[in-house]
Order: sequence, then structure tokens, then C-alpha cells
Amino acid sequence: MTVPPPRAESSLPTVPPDPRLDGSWERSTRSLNSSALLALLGIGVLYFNGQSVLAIIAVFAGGLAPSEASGGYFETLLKSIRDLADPLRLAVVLSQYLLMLLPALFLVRRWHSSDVRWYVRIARTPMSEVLLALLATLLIIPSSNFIADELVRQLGIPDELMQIGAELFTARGPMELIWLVFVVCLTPALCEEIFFRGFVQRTFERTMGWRSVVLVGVVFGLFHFNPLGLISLSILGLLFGYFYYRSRSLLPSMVAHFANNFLAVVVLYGNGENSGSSAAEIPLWLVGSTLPLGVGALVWYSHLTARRIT
Amino acid sequence: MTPAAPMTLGDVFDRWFKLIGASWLRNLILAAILLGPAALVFAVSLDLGFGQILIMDEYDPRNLATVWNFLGWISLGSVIFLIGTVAATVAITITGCAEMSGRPMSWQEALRTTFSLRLARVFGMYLLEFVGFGFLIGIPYALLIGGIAAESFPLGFAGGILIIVSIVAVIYLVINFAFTVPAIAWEQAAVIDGFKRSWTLVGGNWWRVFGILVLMSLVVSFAVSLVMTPLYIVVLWDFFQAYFELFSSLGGGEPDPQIARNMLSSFGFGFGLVNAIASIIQIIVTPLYTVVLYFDLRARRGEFNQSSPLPA
Repeated sequence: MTVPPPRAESSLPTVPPDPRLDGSWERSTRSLNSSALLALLGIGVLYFNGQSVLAIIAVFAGGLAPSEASGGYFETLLKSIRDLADPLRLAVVLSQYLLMLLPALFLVRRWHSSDVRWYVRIARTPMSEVLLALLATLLIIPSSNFIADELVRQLGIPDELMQIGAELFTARGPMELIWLVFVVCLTPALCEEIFFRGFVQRTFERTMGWRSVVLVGVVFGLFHFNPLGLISLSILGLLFGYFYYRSRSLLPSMVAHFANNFLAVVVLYGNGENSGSSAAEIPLWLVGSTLPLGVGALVWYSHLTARRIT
Repeated sequence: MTPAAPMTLGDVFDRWFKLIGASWLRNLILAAILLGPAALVFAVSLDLGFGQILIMDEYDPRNLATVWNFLGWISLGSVIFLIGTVAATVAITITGCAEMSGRPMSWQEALRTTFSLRLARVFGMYLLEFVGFGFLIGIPYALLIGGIAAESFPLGFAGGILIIVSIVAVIYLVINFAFTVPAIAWEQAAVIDGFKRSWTLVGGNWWRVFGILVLMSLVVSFAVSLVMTPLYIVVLWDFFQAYFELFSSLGGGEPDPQIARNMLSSFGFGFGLVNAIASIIQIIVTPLYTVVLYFDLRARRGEFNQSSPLPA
């Protein structure tokens, strides 16, 4: 498959436009970067404000039972978060589907193409590429998480606070684990990948080429509003963006995103009551041994997908 | 670049992003020149202010002087910062209008154009708005407080109702006067003429202008918070370190007052600096959406079909 060159913003396209690009934005003289930026910020405003409203509604609908935990301040706070976990998780799921995925699909259809699947690149890709993307992600995760852990350590965030933060992602039994896999792993892998990669990166890519991977990767990190996790989340964003850019398919980045979140949920499940504490720290030897292998997997991935980029 | 035809919502955003892209470097230079020193004074005054508060140990009548010192420094910083913000708004509005008119202006030229009668007029405009809106909101509050003090239900009730009415009235007026700055800065209108001009431009398009301005301000504040969240942690690292130390000490009973002192002492300058950066980012994009809408409203009135835009 030959990839058309990026569309120059200030000049006429050098190749005839694809007839599938039949949306209103495509028919106008507006900039493609404006479309991506407006979608990014507009859906961002909708998603975060809407999620807050949904969280408040979910908490009130779930009942605000006063916490009766015995013990100190942290124990009471932890108990309150545990009580509110399910309504908050429901709010996250609803906001991901209703305030991120649906608006993104609507805007793609209205602005860019009635063939949404083609535009966002829901396309088959060789299994070897998917497995290699999965392997590269699993090998890079220790390094990216190590950076976040180091920042947490440097700042001296108490273990108890980290435990409170991790509570929403910690399952207490097999059924809760299945529900969490749906909430934390499947839903973001679908909604965030279609939004960030399928819409935003795809649209920026048409004018910026490979630079869109860097831009959207960093924006993906910023969008989580987690300053200490910014570097690690941006690394993951770059990784998912790279898989999408090289494979011309959403599948590898979706699988990689799912794997990253799944690993986090399983580790927290395994740690149980110690979730978020320093017991989950990543040893340096693991980073040292997995990082070169991860980079090697990425080079291999680049080699495997080279024919699609030429 | 002058729009000959009215713009759709998509066009407005597209023009806005393009305008930011075309003029961001010049606007950044203008904001850094006009707001940078003011921001620095603000940050230093916050630092000095918090320094004054920290030397207070326990209740002592002499501490009142320290509090006044603190308030004095903060007020000085805020006033200088406010003056810088108004000047930067005028300069960036001029750059944006020049760009939209198809006659791009250098930052030096924009700076020269800013420091003229029009800057004084924009100050006058803000002063009038401040006094007018202050009265509009202040009188119902005074009635409410008076009603409570005099234990008069009708007076308090009237004050409460009037507060709601006055808030609606202020929103109505703010939207109608939203284009006074471009009218003064670009068309060189006098203050009252600027208000009239803005009112005329908004006429018949109030809801549209209201919706777009709300949408754009939401988008700007979201974008700024996206960029500023990590910056807060970097600049206020020492503050957050002390904050978490304080948090940890809560588990062990009484928090250590020295940690609270460390926290406060590392707050002032960093907070001032981060606020300054946020203001600079905000100021290089915010006046530009007013400019785009100003040109759109002029196009809606058919002004570009008859003659060229008014000279700066």
C-alpha cells in the first residue's frame, strides 16, 4: 500500500483527494490541524467536565453512606474511596464511551469521512506485528514505570496516599477483577485509541507525517493530568502512536494499550492490601535487562512494517 | 485574510487557530516584554509577602504591621501585573487585527502602536466597566446585607432577587461590550464610542457571541491547565515535598510547624512564576478569539463589501 505524502497546509494537495474523504471539513478550505486541535480540546473539555458531573451523580446515586472505619485519617479516607469505587468506575466507563468515543466517531463522520472504519484505520494487520507490539510494550513498561516511581519517591508521597490513589484500580475478588478489566483495560484501549490515534493522530499525520506520533504521544501524557506520570505516560503514548503510524492499523496500539493497563490491574490484584505501597517498586536490574530487549523489539517492529511506509 | 463573508463556527475556530499559528512568536515577544517584568514583580512581591508572614510567631499587636506589609507587597505586584496584562491585551489585539486585515505587523510596530492614546482609552474603558459592574453587583449585595443587619425580610429578599437580576444584567452587558477593546485598539474609537461600536456589532447576534465566547474560554482554560499541570509540580517541587511531608506527619499525631513554615517559604515565588507563565500563555491566545469574532461580526454587517478595514 502506497501512502500519499502529507498534505501541505498552505498549498494544494499534490495527489488527488481520496473520494472517501467526503466530510464537511474536507470540502472546506479549513486546516486539517485545526480539525485535530479542535477535536482534541473540544472533546477534552466535554470529557473532563462531563466525567466530573457523572462522578458526582454516580456518587449521590450510589448513596453517600458515612464511613465507619476505625483508625486514623488514612484508614477513614481509604474506606470512603472503597465505598465510592463502583460509582466512580461507572462514571469513568460512561464518560469514556459517551463523552470520548461517541463524539470522536461523530466528528470523524461529519468532518472527514462517512467511511469511519477506514478513516480511523480499523483494519486487519498480520498477527506477527500485533504480537511484536505486545512484546515491545511489555518490555518497555518496567522502564517507563520506573521513571514514575522514582519521581514519586523523590517527592516523598506517602505510601498510604499512593494506596488511596490505586484503590480504584484494585480488585478484591475474581468478579471485581473481570469488571475492572472491562473498566480499566478494555474501555480505554478502545475509546482512547480511537480518539487519540484513530482521529487526532490520523488527522495530524496528514499534514505532519511522523511528527504527529511525537505530538500526540506527549498530548496523550498530558491528557491524564498526572504530572508525576507524565514522562511514563508520554513514553507509552509515543509507543502506541508509533505502532499505529507504522502498521496503519489501530489493532497493535489497542492490544498494547490493553496489555499495559491489564498488567497494572493484575499487579495491583496480586499485591492486594499492599497496592500502591513500596512493595510494588520496580528493581533496577529489571529495567536494565528489559529496556535493551524492548528497543530491540521496536527495531524489529520497524523492520517488519517498513514496506508499508515506503 | 480579511473575511468577506460571515464565518460558520468551524470557520471561526479554524481562523483562530491559524491566527495563533501566524502570530504566536510576535505575541509571545509582546507578552514577554509587557507582562514579563510585571510578572517578575508579582512573583517577588508574593515571595516577600510570604516571607513577612513567616516571621510572625504568635499573636502580637506588632504583627498587624507585618500583615499590612504582606498585603502591600501583594497589592503592588497585582497592580503592576494588571497594568502589564492590559497593555499586552491591546498589543496582541492590534497584531491580530493587522493579521486579519491582511497587513501583518511586526512586534516592534505593534508595541509602538500600543503606547499611544488608545492604551489610555483601554485603561479608561476597564475602569468604567469596573466601576459600573461593581455598582451593579454591589448595590444588591448592600441591600441584602442591610436587610440581614436590620432583620428586614422584604429588604433582604429584594436584595437576593436583585443579585440574580444583576448577575444576568452583567453577563448581558459583558457580551455586548466584548468588542470594545478591538474597537478602541484598532479603530481608534473613543471610550464611549467603543462601547457603542461593540454594542452595534453584537446586536442581533447576542446568543451566538455568548455561545462562542463561552466555548472558546472553556477551550483556552482547558488547554492552559493541560500545559500548566506538570509545570506546577516542577516549579513548586519544594512546596509539594513539604506538603507531603506534612501529610505524612498527620499520621503521627500533631503536624510539625516547621514543615508548614518550609511549605509556605517555598510557595511565594514559585506560585507567582507559574501564574505568570499561565497568564502569558493565556494572553497570547485569548485576545485573538475576540479579534476573529470582531471581524466575523463586521463581515456579518457587510462592512467588508463596502470599504477596506479602518486603518490602525
